[in-house]
Amino acid sequence: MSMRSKEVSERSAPQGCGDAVIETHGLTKRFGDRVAVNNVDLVVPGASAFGFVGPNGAGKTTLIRTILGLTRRASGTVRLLGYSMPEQHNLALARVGAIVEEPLFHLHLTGRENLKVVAAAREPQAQDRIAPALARVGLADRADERVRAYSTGMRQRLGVARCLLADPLLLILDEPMNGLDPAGIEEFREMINGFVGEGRTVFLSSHLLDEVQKTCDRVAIIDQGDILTQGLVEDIARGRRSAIRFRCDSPDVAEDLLGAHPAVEQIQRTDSAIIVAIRTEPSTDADTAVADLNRLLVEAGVSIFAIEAERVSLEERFLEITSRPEVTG
Amino acid sequence: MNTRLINSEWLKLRKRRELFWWSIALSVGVVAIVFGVIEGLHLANPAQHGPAGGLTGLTRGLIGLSSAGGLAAILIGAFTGTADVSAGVFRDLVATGRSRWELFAARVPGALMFFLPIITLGYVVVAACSVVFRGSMPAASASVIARGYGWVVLSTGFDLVVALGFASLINSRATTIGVLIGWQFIASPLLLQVSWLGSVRQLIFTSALARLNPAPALEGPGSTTVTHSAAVAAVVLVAWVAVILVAGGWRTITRDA
Repeated sequence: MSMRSKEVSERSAPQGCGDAVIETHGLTKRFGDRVAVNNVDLVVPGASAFGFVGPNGAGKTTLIRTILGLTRRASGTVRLLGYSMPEQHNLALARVGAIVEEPLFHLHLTGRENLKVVAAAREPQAQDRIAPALARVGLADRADERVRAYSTGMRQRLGVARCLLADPLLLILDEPMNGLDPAGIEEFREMINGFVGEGRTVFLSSHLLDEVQKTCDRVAIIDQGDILTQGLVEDIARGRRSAIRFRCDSPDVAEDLLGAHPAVEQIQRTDSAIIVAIRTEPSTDADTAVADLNRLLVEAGVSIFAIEAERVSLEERFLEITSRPEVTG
Repeated sequence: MNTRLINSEWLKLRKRRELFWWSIALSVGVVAIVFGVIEGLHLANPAQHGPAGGLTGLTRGLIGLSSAGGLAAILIGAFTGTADVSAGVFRDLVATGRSRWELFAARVPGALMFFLPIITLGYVVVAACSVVFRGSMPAASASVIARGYGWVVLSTGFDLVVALGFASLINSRATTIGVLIGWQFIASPLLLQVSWLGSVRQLIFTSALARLNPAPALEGPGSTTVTHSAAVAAVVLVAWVAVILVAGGWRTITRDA
């Protein structure tokens, strides 16, 4: 942990919430008869990049708005940075920066003036954070132009600067990469990694699954108001199957040996390798099985050139879980 | 009261150029033009037209300024009451953890900080014209000028607060402006003429404001057809302000952000 991250954690440590910066139990939000968020139990650990993915209309933004107390919940509990919401909203939200849906501003004011407006609603020190926040998102030179003249990317960055006024322990970013070009997305990814490196937690809602896989270490998948699964991106992407690629000098022998092993569920031969699917529950079981298979081949005199985990796309897994083939990355 | 929030409301208003210039045009420009035209007519034909100033001119200026300045006040109040929600910034302010009531409460002094210098400038024009263009007419005393200023501030400030509260309640700038202008210039003058409404008309705030207008005492045109005491008029105004602000504040607190 860097010196900066220590500072952030020490000054803003949540009181009595363990590692979780967001914790919901049975959270439900209804619009009339329609259930938008259904009995959600969500745990977001601190100092991580947490992806929150789901198709359009799945309830991502509604859940964020409910967590932040922007709209009333029907039932359930929310703890934010260890504080109960909405009862302790002033304490909880003091260290939370959020962009909900697209970042919006008073268009007739400059970027700096827009930050002044929000800083006025925060603690007095927020005023002193305006210049560093603008510099951090690369808007220092354009801060005195009216927001009306800003591009989508600049508005997204100004939205992040607005979040930084809280010196946040938790950043909630709702679809922050919408409308950004590839360079802008790359820049944003680096910025998020930087925040996590400082010990902040980033809760990133997105339907860009590839971006979530690249940026986040944990993920929750929501569909039709239900959290379908949550955990490490790697585990969720892999599901209950690990795909391992073996390259060796005797593929025929290896194929026979691997195919006979009880942990191997499927085997596939390509020109240069053998890919085996191992059925396991936790990832530690997969590691044990790979070690076992390796030993089996070596003891049979097969020379192993490489053992690699096959990269499994979160998108494939997402489509499998949600059964919504229209969803795109 | 949080002074930083009040200053930020003021910032939002003073940077709104078109609102600023419309407010100046209505509060200063209209009375300046009216005095200029009347004085021009007087100079062209003194036998037919009296001078623009004097006590009569001040009385006329008071009514004109309360009407045109009242329009400016409604515009400012409607803008202030809806600015954050219509810009989409309200949810970001709520997400800071700041109490919604504080966010609402800062709007009133913020809007008054913007409006009072403008209406004061308008009144300076009225008072100066009443003295400079008085001709052979008696000049208004300092006490009358001071009372006139107090009433203009009360009348237009009341319009601003009502517009702000109403706009916060319904969250529509255009509807607020339409409803309040319709009320001010069409509905309430008509209702005040309906004699069978009797003392119920005392509850109409335009009547209460007219009751406190020093112009009737000066035999000006602002007299009201409804009879009530100054105390009743004051109570009616306070009650209107309380009700409209509580309604606007309640909506700000309970609305989805």
